[in-house]
Amino acid sequence: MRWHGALLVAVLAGCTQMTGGSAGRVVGTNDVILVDRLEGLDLAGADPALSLNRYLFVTSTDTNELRVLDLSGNCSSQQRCYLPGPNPLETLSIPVIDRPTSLAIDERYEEGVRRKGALLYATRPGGPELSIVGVAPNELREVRRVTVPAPVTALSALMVDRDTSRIFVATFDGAASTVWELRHPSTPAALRRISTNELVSRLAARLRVPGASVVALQAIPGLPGRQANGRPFCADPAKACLVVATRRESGASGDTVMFDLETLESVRLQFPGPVRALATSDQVTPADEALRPLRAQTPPPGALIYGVLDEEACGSSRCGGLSAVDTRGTAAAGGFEVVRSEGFPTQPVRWNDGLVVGFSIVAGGRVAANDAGVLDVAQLPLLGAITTSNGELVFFDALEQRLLEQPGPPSTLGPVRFTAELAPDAGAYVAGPAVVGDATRVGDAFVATSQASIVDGALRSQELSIRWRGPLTPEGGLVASSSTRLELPRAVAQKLSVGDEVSFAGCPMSARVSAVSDAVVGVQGAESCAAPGRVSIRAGASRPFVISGSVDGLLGRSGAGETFQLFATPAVRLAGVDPSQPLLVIPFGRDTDTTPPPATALWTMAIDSGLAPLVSQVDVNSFGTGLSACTGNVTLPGAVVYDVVRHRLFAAYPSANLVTEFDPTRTVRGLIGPNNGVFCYR
Amino acid sequence: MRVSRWWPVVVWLSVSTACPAIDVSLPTPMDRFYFPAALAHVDAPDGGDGVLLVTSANFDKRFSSGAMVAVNLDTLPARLPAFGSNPPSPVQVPLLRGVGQGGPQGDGGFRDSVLIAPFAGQMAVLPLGEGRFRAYVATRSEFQRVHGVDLEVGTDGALSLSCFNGDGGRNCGEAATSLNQFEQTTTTGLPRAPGVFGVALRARACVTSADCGSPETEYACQASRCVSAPTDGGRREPASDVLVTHIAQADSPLGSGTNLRGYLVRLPSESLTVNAERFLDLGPGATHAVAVGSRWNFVSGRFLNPSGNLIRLVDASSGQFLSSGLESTFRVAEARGIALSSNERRVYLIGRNPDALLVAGIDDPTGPAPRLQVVRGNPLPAGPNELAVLSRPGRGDLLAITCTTAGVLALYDDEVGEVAAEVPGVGVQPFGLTVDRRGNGARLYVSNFQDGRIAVIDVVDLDQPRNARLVAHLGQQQLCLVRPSDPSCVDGGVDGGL
Repeated sequence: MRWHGALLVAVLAGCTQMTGGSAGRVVGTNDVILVDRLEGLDLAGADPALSLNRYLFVTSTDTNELRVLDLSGNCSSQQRCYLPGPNPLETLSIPVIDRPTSLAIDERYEEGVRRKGALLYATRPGGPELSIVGVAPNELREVRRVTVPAPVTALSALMVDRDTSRIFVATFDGAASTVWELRHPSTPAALRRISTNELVSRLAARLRVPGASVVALQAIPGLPGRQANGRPFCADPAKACLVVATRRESGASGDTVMFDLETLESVRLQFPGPVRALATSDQVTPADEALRPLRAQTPPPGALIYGVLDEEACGSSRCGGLSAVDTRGTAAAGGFEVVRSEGFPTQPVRWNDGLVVGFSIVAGGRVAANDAGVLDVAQLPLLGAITTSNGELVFFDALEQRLLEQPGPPSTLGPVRFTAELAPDAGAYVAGPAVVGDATRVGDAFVATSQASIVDGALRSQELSIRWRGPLTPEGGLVASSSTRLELPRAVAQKLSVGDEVSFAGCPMSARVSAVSDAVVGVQGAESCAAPGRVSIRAGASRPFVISGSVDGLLGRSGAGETFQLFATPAVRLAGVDPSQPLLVIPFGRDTDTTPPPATALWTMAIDSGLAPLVSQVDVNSFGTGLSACTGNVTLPGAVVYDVVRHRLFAAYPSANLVTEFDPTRTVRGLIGPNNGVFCYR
Repeated sequence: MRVSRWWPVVVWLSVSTACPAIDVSLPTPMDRFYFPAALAHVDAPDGGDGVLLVTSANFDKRFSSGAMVAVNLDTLPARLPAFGSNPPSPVQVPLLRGVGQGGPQGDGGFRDSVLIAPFAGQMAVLPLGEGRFRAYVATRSEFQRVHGVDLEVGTDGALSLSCFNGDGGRNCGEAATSLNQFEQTTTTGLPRAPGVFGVALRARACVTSADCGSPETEYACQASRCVSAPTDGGRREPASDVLVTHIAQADSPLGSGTNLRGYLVRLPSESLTVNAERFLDLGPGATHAVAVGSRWNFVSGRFLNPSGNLIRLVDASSGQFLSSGLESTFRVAEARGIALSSNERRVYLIGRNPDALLVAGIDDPTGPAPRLQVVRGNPLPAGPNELAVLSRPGRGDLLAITCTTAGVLALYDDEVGEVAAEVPGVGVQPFGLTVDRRGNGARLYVSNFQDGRIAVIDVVDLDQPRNARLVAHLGQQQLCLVRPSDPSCVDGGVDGGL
């Protein structure tokens, strides 16, 4: 009978291993949401392994369900595992609406710290419905499914109080957007006592936006001291305000506006362009004495509004990235302005040409620091992490809106290269940018050493282009409602001069800029044009050189014989740089006064920034074959969340249908693998 | 060792049960679709619902060949619902051939159908005028053929299909142009196009007839477009380039798995003759589909790993190509369908792993080196395959996208930047699609590869995509042919239940 006993042991051992060790079989990891700091739990002193702070909900879009990754470490076969179902051989499945793609969870703020409720919301683009899911361990199932009048385009949750949930849902019916508010009990048990019909009848229309779709919502609490137009605005912490991002013209335009839902007053948030995703930050917990100094630096929730800039506004990643607007205090005439650092407006956080596909902002986040070669761990008031479509994970200081830099070589400018459609035996270098010594003809170009200079870390690596009579408006032009008076983005208008050439898509006549005042531009020469369509503007004779970067876009313009100076605008490495000094200087010669170049004239210079920010990428070749190995197509990440309980980062990778765990304190610049605390769960 | 006397029986049983024999002599049915893949809608000269051309891929080679069937949508035995009528449930129209379409011909076939090689991929149709059309279809079975099939729509609505290649009969597979004929005739095995799949047409532009072809005396240049030599009937026909892709890379030497490359094959529409110069070498990475721009052909790529291209741009006149480099900024594993926005400022690309729609801006689309940059990536329902652009005056495009694994048609609204609607219940593996524009609406026809039917979807108002509805299925389900043991096939018959 001895072998019977061995068999029994083997079977039992097998069962134990199976429990909690099952693969998720997730298909479509488009979004993840962390269930931490649930209502009723004191974070301080709570044992993460025993508390409710242990679930990561993951969409399994193509199987119409959610899966739950258990972060407690209570797995036998790997560090994390998906929760098993009632039949422990199967992974727990939470059936929800078809194709759940986006997740949100009940939230409220307690002493500035984000607390989460017991209900989660799942939506999909194009779907006029949402699932409400209970997230507590005794629930883990859909509680209600609510139909809304039109396809959902955005959702944000901000609880009224502990007992009452409140969500804002934006829908688009093809002609207009509507933002609905739904209030309901905050616990699954109480929610079940309400019929679905009654729940639907509680939907209340709060805002209507004709001719635009609402692409992002962020509900925030009021902030004492916030003012606009001389009156308190969204200043009551007990009441919700709503930040709404809209999209028009296929993303070419759009606004981001904060609404006071009590008065329906609104104030613009002056992001550099249209926004396609929104978030806010919270504060470091007051329960931890050691973190008091850090807490003092973190702004209250709703103070900073983060927005992912829509790359469609200009047709490239040059206008993308993550920007932040400071809504504290009194709004300026044009609305709340972008966060300032060292007295200067900050620039969007971006790196290379990937699109932002996910981001997370966390108070008191920890990250590896490299201080002059000495490795350490830094804890920041606000740590940001971005995932990008080219597979990168970018860490940044979300308070200063600055990449986290590692030691690197100084910035350099390459030689200037002049090209134009010249005859094969034609002439010589045309200045353009002034050069040192003679230019050398190389193929169809002239190459010379430039007199230009750059301050270390001022700009990212990119190609500088200088075009004669170059474009000052984005490719495809801007919207024009009149042929005599243009209201343009201030950033564009400020670069215009009287005499610049104006052309309208709908009119053949040529026109010129006659006046520039703030964001309003006067135009002469096309008065008879009834339907101007889109407008394009090129530099005129007074300042004909247009300078742009392949990453940062339009930088400015210059005239012949002048010296172009770029001050702290797209700077990245501002710390330690005197902001009163120009970051990029390009002297221009006077050749073009006597030798006007052809319209195709182009001068280029390569910038090697020398910047070495903390940007990482999963190296699939560094893994073995274990259950948690990151193998396969781990190339394109998506949503990302920072777990402040464990100080880990979890990112969805829809390209490989898995979730990746990162240890930010062991993350280094470049390729990372298991030795840096990277694990994958599929 | 003693050998059992039963071993011949064991061997016979093993062989016979392992690989059931396929009777390739089974005649291809012409009264149904069988693994329908490529399809195209053309307007009939007298108006009405028009004509639908559908290819049967014969994917399991149950029958002797694939087929193309022309369906007159106005003379179906059971009419399709009127556009916009919004029936309470999808109407089932199992029979394809109505009264007046003629019975079997002397060779046993029908006037409105022809045989083509199996494994049809995509189709493109060239209008020839006066109710005549020529359809080009790629089939990736043995000889990697490109077929030309002529459609004639009679004044009485009668349809006639005939083979453009060969003797004009009804078996087009034999004489269709083969794109692997150099496989055995050259030492390198190149050029060749394994897995021919995508087909697109580009009108040949000209200044003089010398730009159109050789000998130039046979061609003419009319309104900057090339037309062919007069046909037997004295008609001149538009001369276009038939652009063909292939979804497997060519290696060299043959079978070595080395020196991999992909081609875009450019055949003259008026002859479909092939020579080595017709193959444009695009470097590593197979090709899938082509979107035709005013200057450049935009070619989507398959199998990017270890090297390949999501989109390559091929100059229409010189044949030179550029790589867009998009694969380094948006890291999907490979691509499927591709289309250009109505203003050619954007390219829409279907990516796989993950399933996504990529939207890229095109800087200077008619310039010497257009620059493409991804500006948006949206998740799509599982298995997206093909897409069609539905332009809307004054608004961003609406895209219709077949999603094979999810079994839905997704409608992406570029104005909103999201999937605006999904049409469920389309069928099993919706694959190809074609569009019949109706004012500010559209009727979409979607081939269901594993289902055997064509789904008919109405988008009555393109500004209201959420109101899109499945209104009909055309043809018979093939389930009981493919899987006769399925419980729903109670009588084991081959007609299948609807």
